[in-house]
Amino acid sequence: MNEDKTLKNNSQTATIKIIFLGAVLVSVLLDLLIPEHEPHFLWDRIPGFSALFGFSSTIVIILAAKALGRYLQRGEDYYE
Amino acid sequence: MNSWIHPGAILILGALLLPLFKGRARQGYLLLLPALAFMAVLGSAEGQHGIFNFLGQKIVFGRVDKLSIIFGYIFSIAAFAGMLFGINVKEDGHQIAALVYAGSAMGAVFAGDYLSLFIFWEFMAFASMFLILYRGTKKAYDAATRYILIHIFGGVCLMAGIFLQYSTTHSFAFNHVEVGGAAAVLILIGFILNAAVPPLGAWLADAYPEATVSGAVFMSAFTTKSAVYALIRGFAGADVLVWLGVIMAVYGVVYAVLENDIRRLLAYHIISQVGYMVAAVGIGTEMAINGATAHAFAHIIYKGLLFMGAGSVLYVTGKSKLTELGGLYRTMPLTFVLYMVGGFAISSVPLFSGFVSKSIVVSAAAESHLSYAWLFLTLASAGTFLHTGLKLPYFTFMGENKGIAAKEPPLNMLLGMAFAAFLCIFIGIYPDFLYRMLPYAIDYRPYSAEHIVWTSQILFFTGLAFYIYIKKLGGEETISIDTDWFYRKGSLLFMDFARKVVLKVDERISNAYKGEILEPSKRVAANCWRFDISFIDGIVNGTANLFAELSTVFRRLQTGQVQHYAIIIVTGVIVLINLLLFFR
Repeated sequence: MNEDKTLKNNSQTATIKIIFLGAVLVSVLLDLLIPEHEPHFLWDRIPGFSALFGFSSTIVIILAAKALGRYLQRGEDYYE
Repeated sequence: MNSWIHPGAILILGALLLPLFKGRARQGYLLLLPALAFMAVLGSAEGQHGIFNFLGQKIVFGRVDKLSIIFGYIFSIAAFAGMLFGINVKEDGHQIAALVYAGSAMGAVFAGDYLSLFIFWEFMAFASMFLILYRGTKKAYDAATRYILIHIFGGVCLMAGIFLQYSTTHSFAFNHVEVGGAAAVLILIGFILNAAVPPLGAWLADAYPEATVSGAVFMSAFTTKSAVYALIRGFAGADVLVWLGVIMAVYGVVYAVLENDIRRLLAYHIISQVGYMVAAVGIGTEMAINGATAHAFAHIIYKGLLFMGAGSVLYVTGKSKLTELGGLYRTMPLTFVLYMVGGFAISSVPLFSGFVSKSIVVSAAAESHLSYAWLFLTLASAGTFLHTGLKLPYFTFMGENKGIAAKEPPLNMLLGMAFAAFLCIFIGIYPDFLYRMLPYAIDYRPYSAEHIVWTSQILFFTGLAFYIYIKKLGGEETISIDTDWFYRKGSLLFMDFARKVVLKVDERISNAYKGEILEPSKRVAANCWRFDISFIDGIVNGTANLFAELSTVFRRLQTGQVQHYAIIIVTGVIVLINLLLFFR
């Protein structure tokens, strides 16, 4: 019974993963199909730029914050 | 013209009558006031109303134009949503504070001169302080104290700026201020302190998470957004704001990574989101001002919704830390779904309100060719989705099932969330509703194929990065030091340092004192003491004994007859005079 549930959960997670990755791919492919209107910046001409930028931004934020956290984080009773 | 009713006055004066109502009538009355305020905004004709003369100065309580009207609308909507969510709060004082706070924010928005602006500005700070105090904990009390002190500091800067400005212009009119000069800088400090611009903004993340559940919903709406309004009025196009805004946007998301408390995480995202508005005010073009206004409008609703969601979790479980939460979608599915509407709205997912408002700001940065501002605002955008849309809901509602006993919050709280969620989606689907209210004419179409694809790429790839880093993103049982460190800890360390140094100096002095002054004076004192014991005490004790004996005599003289008392009094006076003469 319990095993069944985990099995079902796993297959559900797998489906979600496939849908998610599919959407990721579609969003990049669509970018190639849609012509850019009046680009403002240099990078507006690069297809998939926002995908790359979104991905790297997230990682930069996480890593930078974790690095800063070494200096900023304190125990919960720090101010008490 | 004369029939203009101040929407803020409805809330403030109406709040004072609240104790007259009980039960159902009280609930109806609490919702009626924001509704009436909304109607009053709806009925406001553009122009100047409520003009008074005060010491020869023109005081304008009602500057009504497109900019103040849209802030009036959103403030009354926020008051209504917050009241609906918090209508089950029993303390009249809490509800009065919330209404006075909302009313003062509207007062600040409609103020046409610095004097009335300042009065409402201070009212906001004091009224909102009570929303923290009503939490009733020691932590809340301390946070409220710091909150009011820092706002008093901001108020003093603002007041100094106002009077300095008056000394040159001889006018209290609240209009565009040229940056440069001490007066402008002081006024700007007063404004950006309330907008929570770092390094003056640590009060926000310090205080909001300590407020009551519904108090935090109110606080998320008014203080920072009335400051954005004041910045639009006074400092549109001030370059410094572009960079302050960009720093805010990034600063908020960086701190959010480290945060464990869900309401503090959301508080950091207020700072981040207000950063977009401040940056837009700095860009200062018509499109940017429209963007700042539209984003303030959308932000108030979805941020209120997010605070309602996180507040509901706190209300039901008593917990607010990511490390203690998890798996709540099983017991609180409605709260989860409604929270996610707010999460999608703040992350600017297409069809939700943030998508149609934030993009105006980002596009305005592009049109002004501010490439770095654009890049950092887009980066912060990814960070917003990462935390408010993914991390917080994942570790609160999904993730590891901690088996926390929970249920949905009371109906009125769900209705408050549903109301806000409806507006998030309505604005997302029908942006013209919002665009038509903006201060300048706007021709902006958020739903271009290009924009949708661009946004979905950012969102999907943020999601991908979240999935990869999910193990690093769980809450940690820590707090992060912010600029409030300087007055929470720095001052203590300074005192500690001072104490040690002062102690050393003090020790030297007291050693010298001991040898050269204390010992001789001790000897003198010892002699005095002997004199005191033998002579002075003798007199004092002798006198006391005398009176004790006399009193036993006088006690017997209590006859109750007036002439006897008169004689006793006269005798007493004579004795006293003699004693005085004797001891003189």
